[in-house]
Amino acid sequence: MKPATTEFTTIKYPDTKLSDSTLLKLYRGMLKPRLIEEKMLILLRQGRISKWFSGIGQEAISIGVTMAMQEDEYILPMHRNLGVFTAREIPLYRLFSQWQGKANGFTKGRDRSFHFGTQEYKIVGMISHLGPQLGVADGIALAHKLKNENKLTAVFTGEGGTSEGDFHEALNIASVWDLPVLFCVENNGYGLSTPTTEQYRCKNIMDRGIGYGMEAHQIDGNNILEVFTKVSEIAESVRKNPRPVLLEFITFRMRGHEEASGTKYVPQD
Amino acid sequence: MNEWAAKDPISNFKEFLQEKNILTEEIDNEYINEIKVEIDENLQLAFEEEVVISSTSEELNDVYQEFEFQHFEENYETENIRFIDAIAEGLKQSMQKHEDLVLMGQDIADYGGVFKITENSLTDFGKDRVRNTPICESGIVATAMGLSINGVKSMVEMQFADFVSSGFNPIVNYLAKIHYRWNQQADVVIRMPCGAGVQAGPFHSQTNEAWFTKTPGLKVVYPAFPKDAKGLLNTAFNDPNPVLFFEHKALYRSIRQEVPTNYYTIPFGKAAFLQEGNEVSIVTYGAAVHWAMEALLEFPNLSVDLIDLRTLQPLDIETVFNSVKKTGRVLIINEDSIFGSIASDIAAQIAEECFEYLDAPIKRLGSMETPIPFTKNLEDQYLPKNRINEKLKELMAY
Repeated sequence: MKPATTEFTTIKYPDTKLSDSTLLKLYRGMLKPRLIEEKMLILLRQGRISKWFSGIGQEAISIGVTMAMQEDEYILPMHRNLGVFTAREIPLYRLFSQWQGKANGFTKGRDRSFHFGTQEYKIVGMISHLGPQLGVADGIALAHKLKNENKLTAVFTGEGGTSEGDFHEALNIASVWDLPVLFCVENNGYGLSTPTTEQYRCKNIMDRGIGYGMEAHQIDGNNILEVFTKVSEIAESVRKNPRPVLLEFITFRMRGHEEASGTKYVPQD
Repeated sequence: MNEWAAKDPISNFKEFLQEKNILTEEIDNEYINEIKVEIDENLQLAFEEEVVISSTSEELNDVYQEFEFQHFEENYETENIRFIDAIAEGLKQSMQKHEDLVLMGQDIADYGGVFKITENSLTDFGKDRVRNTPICESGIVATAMGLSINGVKSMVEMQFADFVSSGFNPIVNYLAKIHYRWNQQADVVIRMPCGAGVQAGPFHSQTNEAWFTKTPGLKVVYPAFPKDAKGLLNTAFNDPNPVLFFEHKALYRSIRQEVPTNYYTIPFGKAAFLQEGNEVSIVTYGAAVHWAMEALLEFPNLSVDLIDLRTLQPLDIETVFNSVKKTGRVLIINEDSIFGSIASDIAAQIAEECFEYLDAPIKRLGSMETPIPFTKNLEDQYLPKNRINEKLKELMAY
């Protein structure tokens, strides 16, 4: 798994007081979705599964965020966040069954891939329109607030999803109602094939926080320790002082939007 | 690609942990083997599992959350109130009954809403439960969905039903489909002040119920009288499914009725007879019910079954069939333009089910196939109200 060229290795891991067991847990946590995906790609080539949205290269975000959350806090992932599902310890056969449209999945064969929710694991999957789940996170967070529960809600979207009106509406609502939501934007550089220059013209997604009067951070999404420690810190602070926070994770996806689309639009160097 | 491959989150972290002597090749291999075994075993289970089999009834049953209607009886104490007062009363009594119910809408708090329906709600229930929203229908409908996921019941007031188009996506794709998809209820009531006849132009006059009856998973209620409005609204809040509750603006202040003062409920899916007869059936709902009653004053000797549908989803089609089988003639009136309307669908169902009982072609009457014009002359021409007599004569002459 060691990369062919090491001169580009630029990840600087921060000093942390994390125990060895936590560090290993983070490592193993990332390994699991990676190995599942590698298996899925083989099955896809064999024609045994029909479609796959890869999150290879983005595991640190799903794992770091999920492990920074409490078990009973809701997470609203996207289709590239397999790590959220595995970190919440959903039995794998249920996930596989879901992807095959079988009864041990979560939708009785009625919906595909990651398009499901489960109260048991406090995960609310996306609908294909991306945007609405951001507002759904607002509602979940509002319910916590009304019930005087110090819980936060994390919702994922990509940089492509930020172009939708729902992104604006959800951030604005969360802002005016001081809702404890972490808006996690995974900026992987491409919305399907559209590069960021054709998606938005602000310098950083994080800068949009200013427009909403919202605290915002940019995080190296490939650096598991930065993701985990920063999100843990922010999460703790949001639980005490409920407010929305915009998090921009800089990352890259190593494979196509879904396996059929390939990566020809990405320059090799 | 190469640069990012070098930034792989896993291989880099592995290297880091190895340098710190936290991770050994041995432990790494152990992890990989454990996970691979877990994957293979679980894949085996999934591949061995039978393909999913379901029945049409099971599929249909899961579209809605099961709801057992609880009947709260009307008491004898009544008050003569307007349609709008009945809505306000139902809302208040439901807020008292459901202590977690949250109201959201534009200008509904201090200002009391553009129609003043929530005028005293803020004082009665506080600003946590009565919430002014920014102008963002889609975001607020999604927020209501989130409240339901986390166990809180809510109502969204569309300032005008026309504006629901800005919140259409979460209603038809999220709220409507979530129970069928993963068994999660969408316990949301969306109030829809709708309808024409008030010279409000193309964007404050529409009656867009057919946008929603088309989508499985939603319930659609459309009362014509104050008493029904209150009882049906109370039921809407008891029902854990997403309910679109249409309130015709022209009825708000013009229609009065003796309404029981207590908390009572009326079941969905039960049409009401306003008159019973045996020569012709008139099937309608909303403001058109009142137009039909007015038109019938010109036909004092005609024996009419006048049916107010009250709810469109569920639809009491059996009552319609029974009436048509008795009279052999039917006129269906709705305020909406006719193509793809409720009237058209009911006509199709009657044609299929009651063909041999019909003595005349089924007649439908609705608005013109244009946007809704502003000025009175044009709006009167647009609406079907002044064409009821003619249509009815045509039907009876056949």
